[in-house]
Amino acid sequence: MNNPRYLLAKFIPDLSRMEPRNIGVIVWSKNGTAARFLAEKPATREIDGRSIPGFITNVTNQQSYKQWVGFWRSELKGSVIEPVYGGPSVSVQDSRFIDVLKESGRGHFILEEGGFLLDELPLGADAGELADYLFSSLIDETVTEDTKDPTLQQLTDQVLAKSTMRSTRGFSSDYLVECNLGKATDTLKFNHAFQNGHLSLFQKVSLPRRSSVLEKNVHSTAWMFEQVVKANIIDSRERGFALVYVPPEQMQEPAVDNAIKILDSVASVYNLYNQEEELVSKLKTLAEHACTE
Amino acid sequence: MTAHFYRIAKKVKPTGVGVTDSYYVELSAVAKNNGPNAPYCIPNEFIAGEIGRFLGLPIPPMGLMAVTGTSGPPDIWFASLDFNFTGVNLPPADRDACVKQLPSLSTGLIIFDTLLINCDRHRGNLSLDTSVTPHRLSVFDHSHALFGFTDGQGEQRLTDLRDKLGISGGVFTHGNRHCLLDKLDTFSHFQYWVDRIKCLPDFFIDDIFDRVENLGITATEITVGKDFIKHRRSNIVQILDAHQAEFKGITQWGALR
Repeated sequence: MNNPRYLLAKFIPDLSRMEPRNIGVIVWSKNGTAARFLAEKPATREIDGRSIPGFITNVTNQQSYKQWVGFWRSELKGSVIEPVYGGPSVSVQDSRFIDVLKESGRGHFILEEGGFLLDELPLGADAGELADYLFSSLIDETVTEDTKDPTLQQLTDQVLAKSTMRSTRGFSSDYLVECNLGKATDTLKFNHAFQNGHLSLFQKVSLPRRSSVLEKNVHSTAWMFEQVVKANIIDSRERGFALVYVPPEQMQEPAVDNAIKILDSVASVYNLYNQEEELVSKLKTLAEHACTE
Repeated sequence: MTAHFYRIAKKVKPTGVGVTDSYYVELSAVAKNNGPNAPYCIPNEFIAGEIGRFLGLPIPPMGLMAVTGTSGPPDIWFASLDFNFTGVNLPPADRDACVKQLPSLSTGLIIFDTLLINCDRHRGNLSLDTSVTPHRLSVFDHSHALFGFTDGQGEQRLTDLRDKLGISGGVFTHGNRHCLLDKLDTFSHFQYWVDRIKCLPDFFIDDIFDRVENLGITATEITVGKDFIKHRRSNIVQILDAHQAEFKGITQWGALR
């Protein structure tokens, strides 16, 4: 069969539950091959680690995802493909190419038959356009769950260790605060808190590239800080710490710039890309102050 | 040689009073048993694993595990620690990167597979983590080595392949051509690994075969197996020299001692 065929790349977060989620599409046609994966930058096809969905980064690290996508892309580059588990090579011109490729998935990363087109691609038509179309129809880029930012996580841990804050009396994690909102009571959970007569609250705010998730993260954090200031649970916005990780190139994006301004209106924002030491010294001061009180 | 670390899946609880900083933990491991497609799975895996680890190859820590039921004898499985540090399998190894970045280990692996006539070394049973420097190679799956994969034919296979290369995927060996055999392009590390193989002691070989008695091989196969490995250990130079044409990427073959 010479009709264009496609595979769906899937990630299985929990092998015992077997609930694969689509992460990419690979197209084979007589005109060539093409692939699209989640978190790829459209211009370069490089993986943007910050945009890898949480259902992957909650299970493994960015590098595993990058290595799998890199592997599948490298398999597509050749004029022939060699079966992973042995056997004769198959030419990229042969539709069995995609069957051989399908066998390369294992464990959490698999490839499954997607389907085929009833017509061949017109001469000169680009397999990439078909891949774009399939990707937009079959792969959900608007996953709404929180994406954990491993860099932010790691740097925050580093700051807490360097400042000795973590071992200081009065420090706690997953700190719950109850806020009265009219007749209702809302329980807000902050990543960390430090109580030394005055309460300080810390919240990591991941700023992924997907604007819907970025908006959600920022609005939710800003609202939390606003409520705790309003309810006098913390003395002032200076006692609220919003921790972000924003490299310079991301800072240029209007949505990110605006997000920082929103957070800054309700809390002290520390960008751990370049303010790690500043935050360490601030926390040391807080911790030392606690010891002398 | 760099240290290899393995993942603790879960810290369960401290071991108890009097022992500080010691915990019961849960580890992730892969377990296998003899089956129709690999009737010699346990002996092949265990013997290959022990020899490979003796030689210093990155084969995960492994051993024989007993599944105990309420009655009857325990069911014995072969198990090795999950080497995937990131919690998921990595993709099949990039062979070019493997021989380029790790030429010594690649050489060691080919000679080790030669010693054990492993006819199933494809890129799916090599894992190369390219996210770390130096790249981290993990080697696994030896269920088709040594006694092979045909029930009752283990002794015959050892006889047929006694002085063959055993990894070329040819008419005698069957299976797959070794995935690094055509890629390796340096002779520089051969002597290093030959020296290590020659150091395999008789007592070590005897012990590891004895430990898998009644786990899928007969007493005769054990005797033949011990003799086979001792013969190939002592004649590894002659075996490699006789098959130097199979190493298609190596243009300059040197003198091995």
